[in-house]
Amino acid sequence: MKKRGYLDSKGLSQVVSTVLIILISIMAVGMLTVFVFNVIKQQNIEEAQTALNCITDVDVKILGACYTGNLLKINVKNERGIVLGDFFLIDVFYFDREKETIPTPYYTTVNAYESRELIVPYLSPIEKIKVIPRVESTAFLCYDNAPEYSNIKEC
Amino acid sequence: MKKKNFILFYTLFLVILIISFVSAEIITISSNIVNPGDNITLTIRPTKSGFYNIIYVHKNTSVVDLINVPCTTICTRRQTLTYNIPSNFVGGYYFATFDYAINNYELDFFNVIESGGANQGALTLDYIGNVIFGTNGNINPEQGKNANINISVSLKDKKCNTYNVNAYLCNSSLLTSCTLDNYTLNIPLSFESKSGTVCKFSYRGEDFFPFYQSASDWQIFVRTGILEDRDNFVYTSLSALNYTSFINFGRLNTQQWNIGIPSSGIDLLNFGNIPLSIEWSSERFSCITENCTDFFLVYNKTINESYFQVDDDNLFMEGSIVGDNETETGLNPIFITNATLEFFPENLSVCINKNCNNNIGERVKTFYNLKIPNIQRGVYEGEIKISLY
Repeated sequence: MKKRGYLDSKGLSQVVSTVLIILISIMAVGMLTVFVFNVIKQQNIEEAQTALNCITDVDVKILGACYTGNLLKINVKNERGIVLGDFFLIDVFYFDREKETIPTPYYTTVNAYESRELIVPYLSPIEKIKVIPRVESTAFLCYDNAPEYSNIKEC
Repeated sequence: MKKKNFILFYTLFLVILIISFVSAEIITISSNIVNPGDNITLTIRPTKSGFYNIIYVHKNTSVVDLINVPCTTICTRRQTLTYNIPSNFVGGYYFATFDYAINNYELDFFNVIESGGANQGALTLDYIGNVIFGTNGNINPEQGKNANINISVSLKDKKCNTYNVNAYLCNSSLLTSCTLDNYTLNIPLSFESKSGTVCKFSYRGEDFFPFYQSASDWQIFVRTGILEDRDNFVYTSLSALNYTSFINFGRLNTQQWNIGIPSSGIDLLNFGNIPLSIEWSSERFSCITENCTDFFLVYNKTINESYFQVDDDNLFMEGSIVGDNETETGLNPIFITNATLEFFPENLSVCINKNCNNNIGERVKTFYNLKIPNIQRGVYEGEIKISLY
């Protein structure tokens, strides 16, 4: 009975396939790493740019807020010359529950220097709200420029 | 064998890993081409951050419907929902679902096609124009009636004969916003023939484009399901008049004015789509009775005297007192000669319905005043030339 070694034909193909697996794995991981790093890098640049935009271009005021039925109506004014949207996030701080973040419907925009009523569901008594604006068509929200409003009564 | 399995498993793992990085969508929808009344199943696999419990259904920028997901504000569990497409939906829509993992909306698009609409193939607008002597891209008005038009379309698909095809036409005010929600005319096209995988659909008829409709640019788009083809065309202008081609003045007296003939008057109507100024000219009337060779001129150039007038009433007024409003009503008459250029009326309005009976100056009754010299007895005939400006 002949003993099989690494140098026979079947053994050689096993070595080749093992090497191939390792090479493919290294390549795949390498590509993935480059891709992920690029994404993160791009995201960081965009985040920084958006943060700058938020500071320089975003100024939102809450003119009033009240509830009627199961709707919370928030009257906001865009004090600057850029369009805000496509949606806003409303941080709702309840008296009896934990804070919830509610998005306005998609395509809610407030044009430059315009006022607009934002409407989200009203679930239970609210201590205060925070309106988080977003510069239209960017992927980031302006958390640091989010005005607050309390004393929310029935309309 | 084990190593082969290992390679397969390992490759699969890497592919899944890469896909999971590239695609972070949380919703899959069962179909993105549906008919009104169909159900779409939404399978939502949220991350730990969850998604907002109201899914908005949008058409363009408007919310047209919403789905309340049975959970409180933030849904973190996998959900399978069924959305029934309302019967009035047609065109492109999308679900907007707020994903708290990315703090953004995920948009999932779907297309609602009318029942009988094609979901594959190719649609081509071959022709839009008049049926007779037509030019593709032009519709010419036909005087006093609706234009006889032809719209012809080719649909390429194996099952092309089973589909419905419609044409939507938009006038100039909708040229830049000519859509399924915004059109002037909808014309269903009839199946005509099938040759191989190509079907012909068409409309031939006189149901649209009345003669009085203003000339303007139009747009047409033909549509079945997800297929569409569009083009511009022109509805052209038309100067046209409806008037008799033969006037019998009856028995007339010589050497005096015969006033207000024929006694019933003859209607003059604008049968086109632009206002008209109408010029009349005539030279002579000649005797056509056997052995009669006489004639008379309607304008004597030597003494500058006219003998033939058109008016809108049977009141007589000679040239010397034109403008005397005490004896004239309505339009001032004009003398018909072959020497001067005068209009009667100066602005014949365009009709606003097919009967031209809205009393907006689109219809004028005409009477003639005619003074005949002492001529031979007989039947006289002459030409009146009417020119439109």
